Amino acid sequence: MVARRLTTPKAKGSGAAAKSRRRDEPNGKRKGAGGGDGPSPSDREAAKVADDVNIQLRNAGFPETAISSWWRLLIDKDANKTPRRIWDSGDYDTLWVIVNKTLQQKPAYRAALEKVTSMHFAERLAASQEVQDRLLGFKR
Amino acid sequence: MSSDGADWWLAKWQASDHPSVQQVATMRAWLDRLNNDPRQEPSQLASREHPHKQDELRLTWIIDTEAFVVHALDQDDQPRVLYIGQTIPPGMEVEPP
Repeated sequence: MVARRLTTPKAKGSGAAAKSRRRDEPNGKRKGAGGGDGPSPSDREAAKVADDVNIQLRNAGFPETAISSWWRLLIDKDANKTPRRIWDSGDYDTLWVIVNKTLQQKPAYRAALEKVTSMHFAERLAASQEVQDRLLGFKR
Repeated sequence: MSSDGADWWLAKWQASDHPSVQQVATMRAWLDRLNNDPRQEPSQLASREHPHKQDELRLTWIIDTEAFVVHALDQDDQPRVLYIGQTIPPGMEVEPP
């Protein structure tokens, strides 16, 4: 399965690959579904683009956590979409514009990624029993 | 480093995740600023529901260190470091953003 190679975004039922399938195939039914025909050309294109983007960002020094955040980050006012939504829509030209801006304005994007990642996990920190136990009086 | 718990967690992080010298220096610099600016960015408030008054809890992810920091602030805004690690704190069952 092509999507398995992707680090982010995960190609699920709502992802680009699935949408491409729905666009390409009447009644939303995939040709050869269950028949082991392999990925469609649109699946392969989406997977390649996602992989290429991840490689570019990784080579620029962004760690995996930052790359995950980048896919969901709303930062480019001109595009007015998150990289994830652009990827979902199949608008790869716009996606590469955002990638290039990210690489050209690395400090700004690094700071934004830091903030968005901290916010995302902070919202869920209360679920950590281990941290809660420490808050209840256990000190190092 | 004067934040309560910071030294212990810094040593544990170094032993567990083997950060580079530069990453350790970056982490030290961030932790050293905690006493003067206990809510410095990119730390974010973690909202919690609890029947009794609790210490303020904040989480930070510092891109240059690739590590998460969790710290609490008591009523006097004194920071207490609860966690430093490359992965999210144990017990958090969340998908990456």
